Amino acid sequence: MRRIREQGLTLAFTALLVASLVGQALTGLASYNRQAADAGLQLMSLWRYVTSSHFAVDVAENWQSEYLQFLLFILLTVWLAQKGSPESKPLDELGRESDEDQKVGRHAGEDSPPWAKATGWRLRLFSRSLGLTMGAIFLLSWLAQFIAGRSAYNADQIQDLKAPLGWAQYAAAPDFWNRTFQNWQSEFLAVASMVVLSIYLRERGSPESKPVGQPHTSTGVEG
Amino acid sequence: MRSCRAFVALVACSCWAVAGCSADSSHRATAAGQAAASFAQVVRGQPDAACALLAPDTRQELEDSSGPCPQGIADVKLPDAGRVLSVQVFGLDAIVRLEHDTMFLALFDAGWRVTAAGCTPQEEDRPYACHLKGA
Repeated sequence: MRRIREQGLTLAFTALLVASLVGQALTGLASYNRQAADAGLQLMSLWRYVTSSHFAVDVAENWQSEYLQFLLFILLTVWLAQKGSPESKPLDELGRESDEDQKVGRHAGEDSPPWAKATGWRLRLFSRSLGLTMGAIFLLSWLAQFIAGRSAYNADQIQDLKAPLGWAQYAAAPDFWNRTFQNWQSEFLAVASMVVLSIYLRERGSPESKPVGQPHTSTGVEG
Repeated sequence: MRSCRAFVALVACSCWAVAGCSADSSHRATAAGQAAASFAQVVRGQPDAACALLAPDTRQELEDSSGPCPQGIADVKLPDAGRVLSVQVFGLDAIVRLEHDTMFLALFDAGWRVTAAGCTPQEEDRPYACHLKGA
């Protein structure tokens, strides 16, 4: 029970992820089969749908934008600040900060991660491992969106008796960029809203908010 | 370390999925090419066999406009298609280019069926003009 409590945030979001994926699969299948029936084409089973490019592109286009959002948030908050926001560092701490502040190398503590105590490439790699991993997942998800998106788009093209697009043609196609930008804009809106609204609004007890009584002007203070 | 293992597992699963999709797609392409070649072979001399290879909507459209399929299909001006040059499959849909024809096919439980034949390309991104197609 204590173990579950300690992992509550991860478990809750994993459960929400699975439930949402199931919902997306069931409603996506129903939508696809309605269109297929109208066109006199074969209906799909649930298994065939969740392994199809139609489902894959819908999943991947959302994943890539989420990972891009967190990648940019992680990287830009190193150098950019927002006065009054708990999402920002204090204005005088911008940049990569000193080894002492970051507790690396000879400033590492007993319980610091092993690679934080190391020097050279291991320390450099570990110091950027979060951004690198988020960036890698973003690029893989975007690649998956591109590959699955082309396949789904070309299936529709063939149903419309049109020629399928090659890789280069799809890279310049409105479908690919429209799927990309419509997801990116919503992520950037959400981050900007969070940064600004958290200056003036509070959520008691949440580490994403300032303490309720904290002044609007204090920056980098989380509850 | 645990997150590293999860990342490796994610990459391994992706590679497995891509390899699986690729093998399945290759199998489907072969079957779609064979269906198009079979249709081209029987459409002149064996109308019943050709009708059996049509997608339901395409057959229905032909029967609505020209009467029973075996008679109607003989009146459709289809070229002597020749051999298969290339096959592209995307999901349950395929385009097969032959020496003198382009065919569109869709995958049903019974196998690949012709949705359009006797097709020639039009200007950029406009639908092919087809002598035989569904509604």
